Amino acid sequence: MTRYVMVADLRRCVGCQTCTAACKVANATPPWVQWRWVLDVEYGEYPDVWRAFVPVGCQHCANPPCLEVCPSGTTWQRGDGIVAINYDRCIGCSYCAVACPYQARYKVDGAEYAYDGSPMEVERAREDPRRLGVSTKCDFCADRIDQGKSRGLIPGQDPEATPVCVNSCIANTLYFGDLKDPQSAVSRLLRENQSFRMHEELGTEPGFYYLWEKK
Amino acid sequence: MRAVEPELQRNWGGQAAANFIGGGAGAGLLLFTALAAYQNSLWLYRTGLPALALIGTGLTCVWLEIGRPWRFLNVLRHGGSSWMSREALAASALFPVALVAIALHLRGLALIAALIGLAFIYCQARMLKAATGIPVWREPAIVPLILSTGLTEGAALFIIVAAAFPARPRWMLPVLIVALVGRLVAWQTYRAHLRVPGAAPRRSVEVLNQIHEPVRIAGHLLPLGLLMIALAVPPGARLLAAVAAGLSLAAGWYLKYSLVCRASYNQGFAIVHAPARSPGYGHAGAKPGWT
Repeated sequence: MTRYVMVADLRRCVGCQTCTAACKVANATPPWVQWRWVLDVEYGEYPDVWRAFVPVGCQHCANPPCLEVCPSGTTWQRGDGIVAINYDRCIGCSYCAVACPYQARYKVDGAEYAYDGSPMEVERAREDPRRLGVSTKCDFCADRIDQGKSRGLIPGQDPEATPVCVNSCIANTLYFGDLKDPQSAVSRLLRENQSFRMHEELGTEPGFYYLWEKK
Repeated sequence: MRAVEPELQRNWGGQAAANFIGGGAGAGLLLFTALAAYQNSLWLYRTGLPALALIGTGLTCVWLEIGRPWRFLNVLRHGGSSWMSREALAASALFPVALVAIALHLRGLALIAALIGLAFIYCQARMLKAATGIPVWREPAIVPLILSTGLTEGAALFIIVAAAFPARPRWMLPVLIVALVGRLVAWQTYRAHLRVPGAAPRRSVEVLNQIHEPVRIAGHLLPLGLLMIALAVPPGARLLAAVAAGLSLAAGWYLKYSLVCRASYNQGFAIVHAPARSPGYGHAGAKPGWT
């Protein structure tokens, strides 16, 4: 049994958005679509005002509201916990987008490019008409994970089997791995640190943990 | 830079609102059509066909809004858990049953169609409640609100259409009064639940506060007064009832449009604890944009 999760150490994130950029390059998402991004959260009251950088995206919930509402059975959950989308079946109703409390879903109706209305090389190479008019989101780089595993690599440990946002992080904020494996980095970090999950009160059981303090 | 505070959702717009407006009013009208048909089966034509036209228009609007309209049959594939699939299944049953009932003047079948119509409105209400990402939709009190406004709009529409014909069921005015009272109670309850601190994004509550007085006064109290006068003073009752019904209908449509398109701020983001960059120096978290 495997349960892939992501861990973000909020004490380390510097808000550089390298993970955002890496995700955009790897997935060639349109200009306004960010499957991974980093929030800049200000909190406290003057003069005690603080700032935190919070990586967000699809939380790959164990109890995903997007899956329950999907009328076409397009959204599904893999055995390893990754919430995936069958682009060939989606009708683009956006019900999943309003059901998701993490704003993780996007629908793009026509091809959009970052510059001059024409595709850059990476955009042309990764262009996928199946992703037009349907719901899209982060899939924890499931293709990388699957290909890596088929070569005997370990997701979260070997970069070629690990989501690109984790690989690109300059501050060692993001970690990925199997929560069911007590030896994995994510399991160790969650044992050693205090953590929370976002909007947990909604019963979604997110697969994205935020570390905020040592135990 | 993406916002941390709740933002107005843009996934469902005016066309989705049209489905809730047309579907609720149409299904409500179908119910009163089926009941009135026991007095005069001509109502099946007079108000039954407009009811189906309303529901069909709403569904067409949604069909035009989805990204892959030619895959629309896939909407039926997840009836086990999706209220949108169930809504589509109800609509699939509703049209053939209602059309046969109207064509053949079958009152019993029209009543069955009306019950399917009620199931259709219920599915619409549960669709909103299942939208976890939008706090004002997932509030459980939205279910009685959507049901009651659909019935109110149906009763109001029946009275408006019936004004064009010489005779109409006399019980429709008291029915609209009861429906209006029910909707007012449902609206006040819904709003009270969302005014509890932490129940909804601040901007959602502001929108609900903005629409409250127009909905309460022009959409309920005024039509209730007019209907009382219409009952007490038969001369001119037809006109007064039609005006009251028009106000009731407009308030219901305005309410649903506002809920779908104006008050529908998403969950936003929150951190339960702020990072302790030095051990022991953590801070309370933050949930910006909430009451």
